[in-house]
Amino acid sequence: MKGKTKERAKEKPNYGSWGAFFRMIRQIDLPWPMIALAFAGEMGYNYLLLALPTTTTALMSGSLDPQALQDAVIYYISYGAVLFVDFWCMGVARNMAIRNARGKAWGGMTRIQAGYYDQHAPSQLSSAITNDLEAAVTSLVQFIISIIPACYYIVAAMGTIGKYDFLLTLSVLVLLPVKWLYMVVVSRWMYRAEAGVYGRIGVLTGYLAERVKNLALIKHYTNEGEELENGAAACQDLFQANMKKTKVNCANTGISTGITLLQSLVTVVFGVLLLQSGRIDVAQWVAFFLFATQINARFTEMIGYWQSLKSAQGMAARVVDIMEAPKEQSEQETKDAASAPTPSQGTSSVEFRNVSFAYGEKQALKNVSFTVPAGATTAIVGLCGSGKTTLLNLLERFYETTDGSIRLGGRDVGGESLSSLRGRFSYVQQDAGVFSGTVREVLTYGIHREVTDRELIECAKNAGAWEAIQALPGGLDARVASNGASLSGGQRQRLVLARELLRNADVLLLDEPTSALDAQTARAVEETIFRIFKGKTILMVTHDMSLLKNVDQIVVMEEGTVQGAGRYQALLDSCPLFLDMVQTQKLEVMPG
Amino acid sequence: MKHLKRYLNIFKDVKIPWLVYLLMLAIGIGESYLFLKQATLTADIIDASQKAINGAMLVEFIVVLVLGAITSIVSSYGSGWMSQKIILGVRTKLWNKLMRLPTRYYDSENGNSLVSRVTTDSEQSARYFDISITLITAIYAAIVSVRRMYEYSPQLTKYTLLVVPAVLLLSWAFGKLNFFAQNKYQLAFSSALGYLVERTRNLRLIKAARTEYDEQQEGRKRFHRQFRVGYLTSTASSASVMLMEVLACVIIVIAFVMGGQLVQAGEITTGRLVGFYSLATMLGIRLMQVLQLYGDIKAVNGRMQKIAELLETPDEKTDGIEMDVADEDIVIQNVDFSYRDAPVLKKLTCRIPKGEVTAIIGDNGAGKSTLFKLLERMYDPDSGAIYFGKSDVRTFELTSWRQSLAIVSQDKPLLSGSIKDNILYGVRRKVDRDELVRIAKLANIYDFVMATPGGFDAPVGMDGGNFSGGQRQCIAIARAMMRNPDYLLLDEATSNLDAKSEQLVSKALANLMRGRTTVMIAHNYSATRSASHVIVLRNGQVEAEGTPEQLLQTSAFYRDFVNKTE
Repeated sequence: MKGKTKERAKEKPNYGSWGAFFRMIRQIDLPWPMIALAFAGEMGYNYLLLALPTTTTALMSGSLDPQALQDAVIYYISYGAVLFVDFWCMGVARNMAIRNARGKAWGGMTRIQAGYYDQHAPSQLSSAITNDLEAAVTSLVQFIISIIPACYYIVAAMGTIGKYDFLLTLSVLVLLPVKWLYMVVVSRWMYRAEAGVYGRIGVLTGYLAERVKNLALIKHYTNEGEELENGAAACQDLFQANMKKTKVNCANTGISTGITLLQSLVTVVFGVLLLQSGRIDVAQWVAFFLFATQINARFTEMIGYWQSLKSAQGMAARVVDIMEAPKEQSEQETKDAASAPTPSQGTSSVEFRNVSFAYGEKQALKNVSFTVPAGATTAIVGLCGSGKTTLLNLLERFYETTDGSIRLGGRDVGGESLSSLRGRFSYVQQDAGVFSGTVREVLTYGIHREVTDRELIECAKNAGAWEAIQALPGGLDARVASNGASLSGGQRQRLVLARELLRNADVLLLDEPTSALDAQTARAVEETIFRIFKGKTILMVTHDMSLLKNVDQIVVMEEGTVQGAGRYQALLDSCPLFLDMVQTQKLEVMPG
Repeated sequence: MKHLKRYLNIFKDVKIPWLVYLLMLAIGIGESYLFLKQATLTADIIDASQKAINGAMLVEFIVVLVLGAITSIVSSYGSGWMSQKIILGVRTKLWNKLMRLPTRYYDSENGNSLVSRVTTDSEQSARYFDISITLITAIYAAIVSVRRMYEYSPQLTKYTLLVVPAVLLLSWAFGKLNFFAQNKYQLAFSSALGYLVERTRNLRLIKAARTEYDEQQEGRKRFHRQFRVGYLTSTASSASVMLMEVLACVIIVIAFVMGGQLVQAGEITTGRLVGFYSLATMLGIRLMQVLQLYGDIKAVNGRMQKIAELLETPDEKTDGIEMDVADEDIVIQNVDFSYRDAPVLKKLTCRIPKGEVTAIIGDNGAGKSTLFKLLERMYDPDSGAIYFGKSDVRTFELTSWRQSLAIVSQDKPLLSGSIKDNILYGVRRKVDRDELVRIAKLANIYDFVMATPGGFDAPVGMDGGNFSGGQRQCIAIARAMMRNPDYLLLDEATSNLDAKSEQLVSKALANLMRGRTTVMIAHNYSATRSASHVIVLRNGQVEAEGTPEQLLQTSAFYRDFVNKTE
């Protein structure tokens, strides 16, 4: 399996635009007082740096004037102090800005309309908030704080050496455009070479991760030899990309050494000539030498800030995208919801009236109508992609219908606030319906009221989770690993059931709740569900035909339309698709 | 030092470009020499220019500068090439090792960390070589600088050297502090990252549970914790920057205040004083470099230890006799097996008759899948043995043993590549299109492959994500058919599929099973109907074994299984 995604390495980088930064500044609550402090520190630092050559030359000329010595000592002490304050403020301002921006972006992410999550992989979303945001905010804060002081230093230093002799300023000035040009060109090369390496590492990591995950398959097919060759080829590719980077590095060293060389030649030769002609004295020449080096260093820094800002454009755009994406609710609404009690504790009917829905261009539901009476159980069956899960998503208003209406307890779901609407549903997914934390935290997740241990234990017992909880070291306070990975699938699902029992919402939505479990566990969990949620309205998406005999209603979906609705026996007669589905599941495996 | 031998072993059989290494060492020393020359020349030029410009000196100065530039270009290329070559060697060696490790090793290490052994940890292996070059040149540079400084002014040199211990001590202390702060920062960072990664994977749960506000507050709390640690790191790093600057100033003061006195006393020339200053600065830089290298080596050692551990793990045993014998019954006798001290199989004894279909049923965790792994020889039994006819399976060559069986499991693993690549995975002979089509038809994938743009060359995404579960399973069945095994292991091959897919897969499986000894782990009765031999596995032991008719009489568990899942 060679010649895979080589294109990935060549992917065009997302340059974004400067606008992203302006939008970001508006969104993220920059810590302006701290930034102002850091700015002042940076100005002070540059101011002192300007005085450095003159202070040093006084000492260098060999004078042992106590005044000069005292000045120098005072100078160095204040220099150290200012440097400390400057660095410290800068670090704190940066960290504050990152903290504020993360809080904003993360809060926003929880409130974005659910459709946004479909378009972005979870890893993309979390890395936007961690890596992209950090890089973008860091370069932004750095730029705001440092760019003006650096300019100030360059202009002031030019002025000072101009006072010695105008020609000196000119000699420094001549080389700056060359330097600028060089930095722009080299940074482009570097960018390209690095993107190449990055892409190859991605390919290699992707390849290795896939193979390591499927080692059993490799061993099973005794294909170690070929995989070795593939791996070695990917390593070789990475080597080539790295060598390309080395070459660019090498060229970079070459050119920059060349420029430094040219520069020293110009300053030395030029200085010596002026010295000879008597236009400047030795002290001035030494000061000029120091200034010239510093001006160059500052100039390089300045271009560096600008370039890092530029390369962070794409990242800033991704962060801003999250912040500006349309939200379902305002922050205030979610805050109010957090303290509001769970709406009702009864049961409601659900009615779909001529509902149509499309994900973008793709029509997912066409004119769907059916009713689930309060307290009844309805199973939704159909092949993958027939729109079953979409029905549940629309009920919770993760998406809005394109046409038709959905009624809960006789009232349109659009008429209620999102939070109180969702409070009337219990939602059980296929798997991974828990976050890490203690068992107690898992059980009370999203329950905004005080819950006694007695109540917890009772719900856990009812859901068949109590035995497993007791077996954990710490019981209710035992830690549950990320995404519940420390529990078995059955235990996880039972914890979720206990939680939903505690929530006691009107309508239970089940999306293939047992499909990730083995057959026996699945049966036991199903039994629990029907026992403990008796009397609630239940909508269940399932593939398991054996469950259907006992439900009040079965809705058969195909390609976004309802093909039939009714009880098991009646449907067998009236709906050929249903008959087909029931028969195929009974089909046995028999050679011949 | 006690680990030195282990670390050296990492580079055994890796081709190290020694010639380039020596060249780089020579160039490093040359660079140091040129710097010394440059400082000396500057001193001479300054002294001389007090009278008149000396043209020859200027030319020499320019030559030294140009030579310096050339050496740094050559060394940047050469050391880059050397490192990359070494990394390539270590990386390939590691991947080679990964392919030969016994399966048990993969259980104790998680996949991601194994991958990072090959991708990132290996990157560090070349560091030893450039660290050694830097170390040797730094020591050389320090010695020659001090000698030259002493030549210029013994007195000044003594005072400067007094500062050296202070510099070393302080930079060591700040190095520690920084390390501590960075560690804390990393911890806070990974806590925030872990939180975000987990939550972003299931944002819908947050919406459904209406916990947006709670989560926002929780996130803020974690970001704030990270910020508090950021305080510490900022303080540590700004203090160390400040201190380094102050120390540099102390050197300046010593050089110029004391030096100024000496100049006035006529014991040293101005030019030499300037030269002394640049040498002293250089000395400071070199010393700090050496100190940093110490930390670097420690960090590299950490990575190398992990690599060494991996390389020291013994390989999977593969030798044995060829498997070209007629089919036999497989007999599992008194097999004990534990995963990480937890016993899974206990004194397990059962028989898999040749030419028949055997069904294995039992609760979750009864040891069914483990038994399959032992049959595949992914693991060896702790005690007891598995026999093929009369011979212990361990006497067969591993490759030829594994080639005689095929497994179809509910994970339906596919690899990225084309559909054809997947069907032909592990096949080492030329397969023509007719054969491919025949197999595809038998595996029930022909129609959908033809309907997919690209046909057999259509790409399969990572984990086969662009195909439905049923399609993936049928491709996996085609792959198993291509291998033409004598024995077939089915691990819940039809579970988690929708009705239509299950039908497709069942038909393909029936074609695959024809004429082969089959063992199936089954979750419902309908899947076991073709079985003529049934094994009931509970708690790692065989509870009952026999024909379905016998078991209906003897095993309550089997009766229950039939009733419940029919």
